Amino acid sequence: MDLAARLELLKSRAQERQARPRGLPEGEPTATPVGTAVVSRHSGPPFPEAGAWDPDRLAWLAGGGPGPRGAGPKVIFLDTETTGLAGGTGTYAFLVGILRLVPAGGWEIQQFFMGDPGEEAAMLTLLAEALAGDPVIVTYNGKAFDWPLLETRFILSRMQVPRVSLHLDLLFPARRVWRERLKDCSLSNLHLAVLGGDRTGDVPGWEIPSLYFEYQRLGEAGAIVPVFSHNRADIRALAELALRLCRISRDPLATLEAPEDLAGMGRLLAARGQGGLGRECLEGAVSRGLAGPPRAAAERLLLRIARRQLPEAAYVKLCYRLLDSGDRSSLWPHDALAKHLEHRRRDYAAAEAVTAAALREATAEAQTAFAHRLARLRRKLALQA
Amino acid sequence: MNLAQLLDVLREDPCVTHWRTLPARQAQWRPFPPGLDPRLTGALQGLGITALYSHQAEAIRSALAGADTTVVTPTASGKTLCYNVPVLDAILKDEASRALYLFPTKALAQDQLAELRRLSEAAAPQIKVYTYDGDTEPAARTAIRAVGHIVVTNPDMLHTGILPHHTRWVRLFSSLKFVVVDELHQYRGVFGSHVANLLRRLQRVCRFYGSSPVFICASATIANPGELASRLLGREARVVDQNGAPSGEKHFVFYNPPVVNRSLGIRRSSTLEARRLAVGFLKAGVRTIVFARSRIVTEVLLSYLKADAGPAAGAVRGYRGGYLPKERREIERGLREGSVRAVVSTNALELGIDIGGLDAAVLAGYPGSIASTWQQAGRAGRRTDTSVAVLVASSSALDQFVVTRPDYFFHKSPEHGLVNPDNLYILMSHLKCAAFELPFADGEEFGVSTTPALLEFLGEEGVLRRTGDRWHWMSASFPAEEISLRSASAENVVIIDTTRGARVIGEVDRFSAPMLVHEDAIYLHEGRQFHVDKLDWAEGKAYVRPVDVDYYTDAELSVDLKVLACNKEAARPAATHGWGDVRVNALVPMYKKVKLHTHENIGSGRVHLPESELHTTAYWAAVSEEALEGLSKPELQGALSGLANLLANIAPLYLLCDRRDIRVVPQLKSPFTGLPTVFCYDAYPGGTGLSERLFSLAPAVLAAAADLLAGCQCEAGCPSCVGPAITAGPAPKQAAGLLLQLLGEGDGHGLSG
Repeated sequence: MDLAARLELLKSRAQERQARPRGLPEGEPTATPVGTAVVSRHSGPPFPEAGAWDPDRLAWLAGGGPGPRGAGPKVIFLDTETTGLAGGTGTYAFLVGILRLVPAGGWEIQQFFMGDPGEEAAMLTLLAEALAGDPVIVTYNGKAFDWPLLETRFILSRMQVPRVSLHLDLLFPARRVWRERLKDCSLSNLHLAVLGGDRTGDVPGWEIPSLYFEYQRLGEAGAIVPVFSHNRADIRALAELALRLCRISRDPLATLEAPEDLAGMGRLLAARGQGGLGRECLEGAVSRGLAGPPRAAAERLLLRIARRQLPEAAYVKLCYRLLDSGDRSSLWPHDALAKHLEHRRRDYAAAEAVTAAALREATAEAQTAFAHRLARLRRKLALQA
Repeated sequence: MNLAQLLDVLREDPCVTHWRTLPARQAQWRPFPPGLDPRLTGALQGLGITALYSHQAEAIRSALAGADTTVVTPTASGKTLCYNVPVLDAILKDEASRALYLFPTKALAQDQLAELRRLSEAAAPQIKVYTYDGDTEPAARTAIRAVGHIVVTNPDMLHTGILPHHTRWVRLFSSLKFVVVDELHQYRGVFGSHVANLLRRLQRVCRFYGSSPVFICASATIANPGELASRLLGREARVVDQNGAPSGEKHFVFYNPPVVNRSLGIRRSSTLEARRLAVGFLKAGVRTIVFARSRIVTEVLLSYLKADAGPAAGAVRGYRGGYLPKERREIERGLREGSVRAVVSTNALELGIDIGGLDAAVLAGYPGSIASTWQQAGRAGRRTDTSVAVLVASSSALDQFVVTRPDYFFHKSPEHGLVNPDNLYILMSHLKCAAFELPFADGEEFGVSTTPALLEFLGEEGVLRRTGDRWHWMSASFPAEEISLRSASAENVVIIDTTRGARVIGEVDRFSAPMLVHEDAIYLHEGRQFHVDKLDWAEGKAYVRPVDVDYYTDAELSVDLKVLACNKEAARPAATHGWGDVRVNALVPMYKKVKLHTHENIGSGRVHLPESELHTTAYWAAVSEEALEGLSKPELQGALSGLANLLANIAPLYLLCDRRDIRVVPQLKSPFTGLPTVFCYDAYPGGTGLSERLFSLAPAVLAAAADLLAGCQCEAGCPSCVGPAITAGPAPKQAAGLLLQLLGEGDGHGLSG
């Protein structure tokens, strides 16, 4: 059947079709002046690491500037479930979950849900109420995805986009810390591999749009219920991740085990201007046996920070310590030490010994630089003699 | 010798078959319309513009009065002022005003940008003009969206980059005062049908934000500019077509190269004759443009002219698609400023790129359409001085027909720009995009009254969801990404000179790459020769090094059409009509080495590249062999190619498409039907419904073809009917007539499958 013929058939069928009744997955239908949407509320006892909560520190880690001051704005964790990842005006956020830490301890979740796009204005109205008062929002990849998408939805519904005083996207700090070890830094993977979460029975993210479409088609609440729990699992993981970042950034050496994570934290702290603690993390990572290219990168950064921060003698001592560790992932310690000995201490003999040792280890392409240095040092030694 | 003396010599040349002198025309001056912002009139005066040509004044007044306006402008008549003045005036009077400019290509957009900025900065430096296309830095995009007063873009970017993300463009869409559509004539056929739907989407988004922009269109001379504009905009536009720009006296000369082999009827090469003429102009200090029909001929002619120019070789440049944008800008500037004395170009310079007026145009071969010929000839044309355009015919039948029957060219109106915005396939694609952009309300029409049924169909397909009185997009896909507005892919092959630090010297589109940069090809760039050492097809890179050899390479393209499935069939007493899925394979099997200057064939080689494959749909008509018993094989061949030419001429009129959208292939004995067959296929992957429609319209189209044939005044055949009857052979007109009669026999009504 060609397109035109099918169209004819459809025209006749159009009148017969009727909307099917839809089941309510969970929560309460809540009325607004622009219609009704569903709100589902949940709460729970304090997170194990709740004591580490420090919004200022989190803001600083996420690169959000000075952070909320004193009794300032409330902090809201936010995550959306959408009809696709493409973005643009045709992608809907059909479920928006927000989490608040309760001052008395514990947490509260509100999930705003639209059973079909006709309920979008009501859902956004309820969400906007919850976001009133210029809050700080915390998301995971929300700067690139969730928030622009919500902005689009508000504009299309001809509503004001809620104002937020600060948007902290934890993707950036989390990636800095865990990318080396985990590669996959999706929130659900961090949940499993870092926070020790259990996602048994969870729906994979890519299935979510089709579950929603199925719910719309068939009206069976069972199809969409797992998406609610997925959203809650993600948003609780987001809050726990925030707490974890607060905790580990305060005392990384005691709270991080894997040398890769420690090196990642060192990088993050250094990037945020805390070179001292950053240097300790990097040193810790190296001494705990970080190897290969990550070690090379860590040594390079470590030496750059140490040269500025440490007293001269301590710097030389650090270089020798790295040199003597026996790891040959990089020749950065040789390079740094030889430079220092030649130009600062003018100890050409010591510099020559380090350079000669480096030359024996160096790969073909690295050899040229060391060979040049060695020749120069030998000229200088000959002049002295 | 100066131009006048050269023309005197040319007049005596026995090869000239026709000489037409178009008299000089006085400028029609008008004052600036009253009420223009004084900063704008001041800026114009600062640029030396103290009055307007009549067509400019009329177009500006019309646009300022809020009327959609189409200006029909010959080359170099100052069309850009027609839209820049009303746009800048609106922004000067209200800083919040916005305008969107659409050009068919990025290159044209870049070209207009410089001129527009010159005027806007003179009027008010705070006016922000930006291009927004695939090359725009991501970091710059946010700023452009927020503060750009005039955003210059192309249909493809509007389609995938702007409209599906319109909430990021709130400022633009809520204050959009003008939409400028330049090079309107390019939006014809399937491409034009896409653009018409794109403009429907644009207007829909504007309505959402409460704006209703005025459209200002500019078109080259075609037969129906007003009709094309109204089809594209979906409403009538006022046509301004009385050109008030001055022009000097202009000579249009038809030149047929001398016969060198009378028995075989072979004429001297049009390339070499074009070279001889162009060198004459060049030596006399006459600024000249030479148009060649292919990139290879462009480069070959360029290398000849550079050699002939001696020390002035640097002032002779080439110009074609595939040169890097920076290089093109430099050549355009050189032409405007006079440092470039001669340019050899493909039809790339036929477009609206501003290169000023030149003294002489040499067309090496008939460009293929009347409109193109006028466009190319129009590149020679001065405000006051005399200019000349010479059409040098090749030996091809079409060229010979035109050059020996000048009345055909001068009396026939240029081609029509045809579009069908309601082509169901195209409409449906854009309806999806439109629904993605904004939900459809009940009763809303998207161009056609059947919109509700179409939405219902998309609902059944599972991409739309109806709730309350609205249809919402409910799919994880991004429809604009799945729809290409053009047949050709945007992918290209970059050409890398390995001897100078791996420098990119040019690019070539994927379709042409097998012909131009296959391994061992001699690739010509700005007249220099490069040997292709390696073509990395997967990566899209050709590695070349400069060489100095006395030949160039020319590759052949062979096209094969195969029926995959027959979806509809209609049997007639002496013929069978069909419609189905076909595969069209294009393969470059080999190349020739052609010696420079003598054009001798001095060798050949094989090309080892994958075939390009097009899966599409085709209509075909096959004639039973018994009915054709009287015809000899050459007669049958002539009849089939005559029929193919007729269908290629007639079918676009019925399908409202362009000639390039539907291709016709005759097969003497088709492997599928086993009979003499003519195929008409959609030139787009997957088809666009044109051939399907042709199947149902076949009786009417064939009847129209028979009418045209009977009514054609020519004796044995001409380009308007069965094709030029210049080549020896049996009269194709009569044989094609017989074919048509057989195909149409037994038809009272439409075909049905």
